[in-house]
Formats: sequence, structure tokens, C-alpha cells
Amino acid sequence: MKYWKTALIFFICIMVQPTLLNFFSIFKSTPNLILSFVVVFAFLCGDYTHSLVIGTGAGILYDMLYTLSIGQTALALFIVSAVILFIRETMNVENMINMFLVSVSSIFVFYSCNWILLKFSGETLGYLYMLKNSVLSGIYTLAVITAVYIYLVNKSRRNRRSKYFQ
Amino acid sequence: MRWVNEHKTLVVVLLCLFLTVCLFLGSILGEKKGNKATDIANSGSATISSVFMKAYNGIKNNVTGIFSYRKLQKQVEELKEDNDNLNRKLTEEKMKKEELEELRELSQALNFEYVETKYKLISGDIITMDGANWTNVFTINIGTEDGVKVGDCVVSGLGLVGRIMDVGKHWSKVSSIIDDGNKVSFRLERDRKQLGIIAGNSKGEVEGFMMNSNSTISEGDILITSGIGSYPKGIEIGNVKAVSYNENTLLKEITVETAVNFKELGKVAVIQ
Repeated sequence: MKYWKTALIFFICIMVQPTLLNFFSIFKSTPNLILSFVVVFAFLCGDYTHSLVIGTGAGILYDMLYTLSIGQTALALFIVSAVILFIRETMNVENMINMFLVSVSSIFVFYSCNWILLKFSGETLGYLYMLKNSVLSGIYTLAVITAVYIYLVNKSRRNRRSKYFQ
Repeated sequence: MRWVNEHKTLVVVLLCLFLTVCLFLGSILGEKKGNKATDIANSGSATISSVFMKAYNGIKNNVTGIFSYRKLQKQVEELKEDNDNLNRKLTEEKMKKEELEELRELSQALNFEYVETKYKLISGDIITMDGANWTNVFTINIGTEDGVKVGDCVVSGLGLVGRIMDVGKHWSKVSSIIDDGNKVSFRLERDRKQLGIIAGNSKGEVEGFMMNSNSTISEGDILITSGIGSYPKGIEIGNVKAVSYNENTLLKEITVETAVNFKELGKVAVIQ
């Protein structure tokens, strides 16, 4: 995927996340689109810039626009994509179970990192409260990751099966 | 230089990490005040977000309207707005009444003439809500050009919402009383001599204690701001959900149900 396309996807996610996405909320929970794309790109795309650099950049922009301390989402996204980039070398990225395990742990790591970083900036809410309120959102994010992953994997498989492949 | 060329990946990753950590540290250690980059980004975003928000409201109203009685919904919206306005007026009147009483007492005691000081309300729309589902930070479409400052109190038609944490030309970021670590001083609406302090806790609830352990506070009592501290007096905070006596601190502790549902806010007003 070209860089500008990835950047455009993240920009749309940033704009849609706190506005239009509320329309698709389930019990007032919405999926985290930026995290979803960071996880999928880090897991599937060969180039680290898609998830790590553009994802972190998107995180900074997101923090500047919607949160009170700049860098909290960006750092959490950086950690998530760095961990995925590190562990994906040992995995078959086209295996659905691997993707599922990576996604669940990524969501958990992202929310935990976000909470720890928020604590530094004076947030009073507890870890258990955060986890309780992030369960639905996490499941919703997992569903989005799965949908995007299936779409991209099928696309790459189709191309590989093509007689023009190689 | 040769090392940098050979380890491009590592250099980019480290630069990325360094930049993000610097921004984060600068953000938490510095003042909670919008810098130029944040201001430009937010001003641009406010325009785009309001288009998205209008689209969202349009879709929401029309799609739900198909499945329900559209006319009724419109009426409900109008009534809600009327109710909010009336509640806002009531809050304003409450504040005025209290201030008037106090100043009259003062003028009687000191032989001063009564001077009226009035709070100014600036209303604004919520343009974005923080994507995290466990915090209540949101952005509104009014800023320094409308006279909003960091620390200003934010209310809705139903009661106290929070305060301004960051402000730019045409935008402000609001933190709710649950997220905000600051304490709010309150008094009971039925007996204004009974004072106490509340603050958000780690469970996402608002709890506090009464100054006087002999307080007659009970479940259902309405709490209003006392005027001590950064919040103006007379704004409804919520009602008492539970009361207990702590034998260690010898204080009456309370849990409060806020008057405002933070997830369903649409319009707010900033008090100057």
C-alpha cells in the first residue's frame, strides 16, 4: 500500500472517530479505528513505516485534537506497533488464530499503556474502572480489526493466486 | 553518518520515539495551554469536525425519524432545548438570588450600596468527544475569541459539567468533574449552611464528605456549588445517592449521582 493511502486512511480515522463513529456506537461504546489500522498494518504490511511512523504521527495528531496531553495515544500506539513488528517475525501472519491473539493482546497493551500515561498527567480514574469500561470497546475494535484483516488478506491471496504473480 | 545510512530503520524508529516522548513530557510538565501547533490543528479540525458532526446529527435525526414519529421527535428536541434554556435561566436566577441576599446583608452591615455583578454565559456546541470510552473529555466550538479562558466553569441546562482545561481561538477542551482531580465545594440546596467537599474517585463516581459530622444530609438531597474555589455558587451538581459515617475520620461520607449525563451532552455554556 502506498504511503499517502495509509496516511489518508489514518486521517479519515482521526476525523471520524470522535464524530461520525458515535452513530455506530453500541451501548455508548465505539471501536478505536486508529488502533485497529495500526494493528492490521503492523501485522500485515511489510514496511514498518505504515504502522509505526504513520500510526505514531496519527496518534500525535489525535492527541493534539482531542485529548488533554499530547503524546499519550501516540506513545501507546508506538509501543503496540513496535511489539507487533517484533513478534510477527516468529508468526505466520496469514493464520487467523495468530491474528486474533495478537489483536487481543494489542488492545490490552494499548489500553494499559494509555492508562499508565494518563496517570502521569494526573488522571484519577482507576485501572479496573478503565478495564471495565473498555471491554465493549475492545470487542468492537477486535471486530473491526478482523474485518480489515480478512479484507486485506483476501486481497493479497487473490493477487498471489493470479497467473501474473511473481 | 555511515552508521545512520546503514541503520535507517532503527534511526527512524528512535527518532519517532524520541519525538513522542518529548511531546508527552512537554505536555504534562508544561502549562495546560494550547500551543501554536495545537491551535492551528484544532482550528482546522474544528471546521472539519463540525461538518462531520452536522452529518452525524443529520443521519441520526433522519434514520431514527424513519422508525419513529418524526414530528414527535422534532417536538421532543424543541422541548429539550426549551428545557435546557429554562434550566440555565433558573441556575442564573439562583445565583443572582443568592448573591443578592448576601450583598444585601453586607450592605446592611457595612452601610455599602448594592453593586450588581453578573455572570456571563457563553453557549457552545460539542464538536468532538474523546474516543476513549472511559474518560469524559470533549471539545467545544468556542474559544478565546469568545472570551473563554482556562479554568472557566462549564455548565449544561441540567447542572455542573466541569471546567476548561485547554483553549484556542475557536475551540476549548473541557474536562468533566469526574475526570478532573480538583475538589468541588458544595452546600445543600435545602439548608445552605451545610457545607462539604466532593471529588471524582477511581471508580468514575463522585464522592465526598460533609464538613460537619452532625450534618442532616440524607439520600436524595440536592447539592449545589458553594462558590468557594473556582466554581461559581448555586450551580446544581447532583443528588446524594448514599450516605455513610466513617468512624476513622469521624466524617459523614457521601456518594453523588451527577445531574449531568456526560455521554449525552450536546450543548454546554461557559460561565465567565
